[in-house]
Amino acid sequence: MNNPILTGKEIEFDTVRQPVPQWFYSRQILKNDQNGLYIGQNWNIEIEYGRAFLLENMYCIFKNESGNGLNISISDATNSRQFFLEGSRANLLATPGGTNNDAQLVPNPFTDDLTGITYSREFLSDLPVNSSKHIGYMEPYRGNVSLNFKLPNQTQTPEEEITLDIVLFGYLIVQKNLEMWSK
Amino acid sequence: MKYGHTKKGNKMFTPIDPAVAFAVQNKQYAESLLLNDVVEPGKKKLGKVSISNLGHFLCQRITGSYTTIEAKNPQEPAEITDTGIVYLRGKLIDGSNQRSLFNDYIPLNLFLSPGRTRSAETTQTPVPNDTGLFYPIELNYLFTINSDILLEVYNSSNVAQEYNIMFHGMRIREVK
Repeated sequence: MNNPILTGKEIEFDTVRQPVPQWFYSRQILKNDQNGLYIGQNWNIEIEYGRAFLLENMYCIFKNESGNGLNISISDATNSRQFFLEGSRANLLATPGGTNNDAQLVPNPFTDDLTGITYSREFLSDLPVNSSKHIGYMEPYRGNVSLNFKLPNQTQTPEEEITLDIVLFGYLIVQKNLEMWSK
Repeated sequence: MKYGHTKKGNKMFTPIDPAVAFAVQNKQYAESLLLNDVVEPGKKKLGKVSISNLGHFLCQRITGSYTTIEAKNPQEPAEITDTGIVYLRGKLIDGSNQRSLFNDYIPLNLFLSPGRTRSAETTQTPVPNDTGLFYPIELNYLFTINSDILLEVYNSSNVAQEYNIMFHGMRIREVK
């Protein structure tokens, strides 16, 4: 933490060009393709012009009735880059990491749901955010963060859908080489 | 990061010069701002905390808690229980330029820690997640002087919910 009392140096800042924290939230509905593979919709996040997006952390909760945990795979759709090994346990990559408690619900009647699917109530966790893996992935302003969700080797019944609430946290950082940011 | 003010000595444990620390502290010092609000059932409400005219506020961390209660029996007398359901979702906005820091209304449990807390509205003994260690959530952002931190919150429960969010950071007194 940048504490001026400890460092003896005053904090310097730039109110115009400072990094802007940004949370991107999506509710993903993952459906079984009958081959044991759960696939979600592509999630496209448009990065505003003049800023790059530094993806720092990921928080997710999900419905998990079987209680067997959730393997997750997320990749950047534009270049197929994997953020981590395919089939990694979600609770090792993001907190709270899900639940198997059916008594916990998140009603969702108000949100502008990016998936376009309306749900009145969903079974999700009330677990708080504690910490999470630092991803550290930079997306330039010209591109979009486009994520693919895939859940390999699941033990849910084929008819079951898996609801995943996911938040990506990062910073929008100015591209100083652009004229719009020049002093 | 190297801590301390002297150039000599062990960098791992460099003494802090109190004179320098006091001088800096007069201009920049730690502060925490509280946003506390109650949202009526089925309504949305714009919570607000003022940065005031003391100076800019460099937020560095946030912590927060909220209630998770519902009336199982809406008829009188209402039986209010702590269900563990997160009924609140919010959108954080920088009031100086109306810039939304969230792309959507996010359930409070996805960006607040320690999260669920006990409510005085119920005598039930729940198992809330308000015990044990937790981490403040990172939020590095400079809120400018005389502006507001806004949080628009929806409550989808059938009873009022309370939330408390604390913004931890540094007050920047001297505006360059």
